[in-house]
Amino acid sequence: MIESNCGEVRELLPLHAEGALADPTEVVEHIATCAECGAELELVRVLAASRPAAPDGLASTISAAVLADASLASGSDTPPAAAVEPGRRRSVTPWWQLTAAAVAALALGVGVTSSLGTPDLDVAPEYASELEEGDLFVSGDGLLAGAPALEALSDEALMQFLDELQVIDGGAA
Amino acid sequence: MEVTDAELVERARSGDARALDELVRRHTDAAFRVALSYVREEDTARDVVQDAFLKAFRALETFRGDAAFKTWLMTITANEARGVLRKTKRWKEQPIEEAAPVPDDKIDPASAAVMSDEVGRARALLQSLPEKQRLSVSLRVDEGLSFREIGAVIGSSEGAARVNYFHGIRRLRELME
Ligand SMILES: [Zn+2]
Repeated sequence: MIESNCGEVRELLPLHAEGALADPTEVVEHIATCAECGAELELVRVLAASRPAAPDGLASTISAAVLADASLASGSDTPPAAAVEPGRRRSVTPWWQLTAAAVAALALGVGVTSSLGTPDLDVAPEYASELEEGDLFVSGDGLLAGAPALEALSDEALMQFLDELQVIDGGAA
Repeated sequence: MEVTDAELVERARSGDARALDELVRRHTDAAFRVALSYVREEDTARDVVQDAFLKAFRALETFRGDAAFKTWLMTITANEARGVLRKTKRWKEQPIEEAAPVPDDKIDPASAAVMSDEVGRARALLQSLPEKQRLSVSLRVDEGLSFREIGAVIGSSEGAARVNYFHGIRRLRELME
């Protein structure tokens, strides 16, 4: 084999180590004659063998937390009366059913407040100011548009954003 | 045949709790590895992963079916982890420091090399690499992501992800010798 194959083969080593290549012939033949790539495959195998797993019970804990969060938001699971702050209770659209358009508006930096008819141009909404350069990621095909921007928000800013969406939707505040 | 993530996402969107639970179970390990790669401290990584899942399901409507749910979730996890690191850096400037992730300068290859076990040693050395290098190597070797997907997760271009991967691998081979 000629060493010009190295670049191509090295990219494939992690998949080869997992047995995930449909046709490993090229890699196998190259490894047989290239000590460098052979050594690199060894390293990749050693790394893969030490892949950490999540602590026991973490998936269950998260699952329960997500379900509790979803049912609280949809109002299907009524919290104890004592836990409800007077005046805070209202009909709420589940967060996870927000329209994509609304979140896209956030991602693009479109001021949601301007839709309220009471724009305050001097004060940018907190959720807009919290975005930092590099937080918004939009790939060429829109692969991940929006989501990372939403993730960059603090919980308070996210709540504010969601509150304003409800107002726009005509919900009672 | 196993139900695909895309199908589970559809069901979870319509309120199917079991689909949601299955999505969590399938991807907790991978999300945990991403979080751990960033914060390098197990308890902090747990919190990061839980917050990432909460945010992911709250924003499930923004998920586009043509992207892999796993990559999308990992991107959210990575963002969450970077946010935690940013806050930690701010705390560092104050005298009181609690439960902060281990800073770069406290993990040195020499102490990692004391580990007799080659496998554990390789992993410890991986964690001693610069952030984008260790993330690129982990996402490629542990999760089998493409360089394009890795770029999306770590906030780099595809080319930068590839370069970081190869630099990381080369450095590890040097350290392992
Ligand atoms: Zn080679």
